[in-house]
Amino acid sequence: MTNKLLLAMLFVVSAFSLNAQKNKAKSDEPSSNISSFLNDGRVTGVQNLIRLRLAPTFMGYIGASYERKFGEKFGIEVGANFKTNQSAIWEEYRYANSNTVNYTKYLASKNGIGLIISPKYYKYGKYINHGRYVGLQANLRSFKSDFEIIVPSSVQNTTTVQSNVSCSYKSLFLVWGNQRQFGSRFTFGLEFGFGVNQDKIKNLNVYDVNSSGIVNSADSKHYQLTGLLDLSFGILL
Amino acid sequence: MKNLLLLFCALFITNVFSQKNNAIKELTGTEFRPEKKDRPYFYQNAIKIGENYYVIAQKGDKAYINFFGFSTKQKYDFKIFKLDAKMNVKSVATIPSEFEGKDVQTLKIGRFGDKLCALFYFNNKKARKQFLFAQMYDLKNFTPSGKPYKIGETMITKKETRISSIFKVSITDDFSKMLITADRSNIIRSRREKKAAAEQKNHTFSYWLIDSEFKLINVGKNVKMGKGTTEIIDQTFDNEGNMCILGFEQATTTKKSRYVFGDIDSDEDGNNSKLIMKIIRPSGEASDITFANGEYFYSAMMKLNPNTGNVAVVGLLGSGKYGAKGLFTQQVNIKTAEVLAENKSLFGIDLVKEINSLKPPTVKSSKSNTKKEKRANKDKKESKKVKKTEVPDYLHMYVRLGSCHYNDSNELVVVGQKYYTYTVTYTTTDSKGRTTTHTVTYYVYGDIISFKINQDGEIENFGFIFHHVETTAYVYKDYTSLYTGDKLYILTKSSGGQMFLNNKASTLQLFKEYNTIARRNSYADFMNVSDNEMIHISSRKNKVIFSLISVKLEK
Repeated sequence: MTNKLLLAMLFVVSAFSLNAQKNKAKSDEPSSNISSFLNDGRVTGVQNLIRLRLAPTFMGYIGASYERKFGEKFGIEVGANFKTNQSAIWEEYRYANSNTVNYTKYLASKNGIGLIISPKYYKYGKYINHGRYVGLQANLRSFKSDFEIIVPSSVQNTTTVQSNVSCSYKSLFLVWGNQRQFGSRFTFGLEFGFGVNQDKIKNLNVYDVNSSGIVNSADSKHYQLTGLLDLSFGILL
Repeated sequence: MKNLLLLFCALFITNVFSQKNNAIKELTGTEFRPEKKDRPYFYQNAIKIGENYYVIAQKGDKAYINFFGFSTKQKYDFKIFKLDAKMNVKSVATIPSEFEGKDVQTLKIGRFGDKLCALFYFNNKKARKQFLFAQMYDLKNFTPSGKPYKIGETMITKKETRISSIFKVSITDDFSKMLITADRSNIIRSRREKKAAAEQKNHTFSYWLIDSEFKLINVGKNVKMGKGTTEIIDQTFDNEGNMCILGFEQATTTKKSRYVFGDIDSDEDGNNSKLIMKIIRPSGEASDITFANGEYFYSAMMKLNPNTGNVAVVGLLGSGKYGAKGLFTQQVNIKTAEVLAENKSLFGIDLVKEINSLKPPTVKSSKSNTKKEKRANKDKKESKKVKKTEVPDYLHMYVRLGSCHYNDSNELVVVGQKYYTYTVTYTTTDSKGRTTTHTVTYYVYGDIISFKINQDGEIENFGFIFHHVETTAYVYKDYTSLYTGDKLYILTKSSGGQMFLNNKASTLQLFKEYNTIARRNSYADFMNVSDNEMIHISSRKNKVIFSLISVKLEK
């Protein structure tokens, strides 16, 4: 019984070895099936990317964006972020009118949503795996925030807090970026730019010096020039 | 009337003067300004099909760090300039280095069958293999013809993900067959391979012989050739598919960790190297031949004589004093593997003295003659002093064998060049007293010397051309040679002409185009098209001028 088993095993092994020899000889023939030879585990030749940006996370946003290239040169990125946390970096909103200057402070910005739209022109890189680009980046953010109204200490010793004030943030940047693939399907990117942003706050209470009291201001808009520096991680699809 | 006579005289004189160097005909096209994306970095080769010439160039392999800190690799695309018979650029085509979204690296492009064949290689990190691919292209519109084929594969180690090609590719004269060899001795080898070489174990290589329909004619994987540190230095094959591989086997008696063939610093006494040859027939039957045992060569090469089927192996015998002491020749029949007579021709003191006594030809002028006579007298005195001390029997710095040709009488004409390098360390100090140093290696390409070797393997006569070019970029040789109608022609990047094998120094004619652009910062290159035609390229940053340099064949 054992001999039969051994013979059967030997037969199976010899069949495998014969098959291997055949394959080896066949592998020497020129082959037009080049996909298997090009398969080095890296995803290439794709035009879709899911991108996670670092800069919005500092502002308390969590989200992702999707980018697709159309042809070799043009691409567009569309993303959505949700504000779940307070900003990690210090924020200050400066309110000014003709009478006085007062400071108000973001206390707890939350319940927000952000959108990012970024058309790009790729100067280098046929696929989305790696490339160098220049583009525009529009950021639209809307959120509720608590404000601390700073009243001069000679008038009142306690601070006043105004809750759930509607705020919006719009910006438009001219950006330069570069990204490259690492690992099998990941990308790392660096982007910087400059542009203009607009802060808009609805019905913010401020302390008015003339009336010596807290008054509700009209909607305020505030423009300023600003810069952008962002790191991103992407997943190739 | 007098003026007319003078004009005729002047025309006659110029005509006579121009006939002095009428061996070379130069035809220059109009200046071409390629677009930025079409500006190549390396001109690779040129082919002629019908009345059109195709100059093949590569976009480049430059890698640079951009301001983001990322290294960006430029595409390795092929650029093809289509020229008409008058050397005017008719179109520029791009053959992209991409298969299925993967960037592959370009290797070579040339005529194979009746189409263009572009070769690409790809280092597969996962499979740890380097694959060689071939893609045929239509000559009319440079569109791919058929599918790309994998035609060769060889092992790479984990560290070797960015190595250059391991493959050597040759195509027969009738463009019907392609021989691919893979030899790992030119790259940094794995620990296992180094250990095997140190233990004098068998050296192996792989080969594939295919036809223009991508059908495999012959294949050999891990074929044994030589022992220890062996390097394949040349390969040739006839139209029937008989292959001949020439290798150099270095015994590991030297203490050097890595020996390089043609190492000019090598000591002759401690050298036990030899040339090895493997002849493989289409049936797979192979013959191993070993010769020149114990000899040391600065360089060696082989040439197939299609008339006799003999392969001539020519080697420059090293003297151990940085100079060649003679020529080694060996004829082997590629079909029968029959080894014909081995010959070793030493230059000897007299021939070396004759060559060293050659002086560049000078223009006669009464004023300078007296000075030159004085100089000549001084030289004579100095040479007398040298004679007392040492008379060399080797050609100093003559270390590079460039080409060899057969003539109609089956005699060999061997062309070589003096070559050496030197390094200069530059130190600069700024206003704050900080010093920075950088070292530059200069490659010096010197005099070109050729020898005619008769059927008995003896040196009959020699030709000599004074030449001196220094560059910071390495090339194997900075000239090309054509042998046709029993005449030898030498073409450098700036000049060309016949090299007379009359034991005297010959002069070359400066190209007209070189005169016009030499003052500006330009780049010149040349490529052989056929036995008697060469395309010369002069290029600046945004301008390219193609010239056809052809040898006037006598009927």
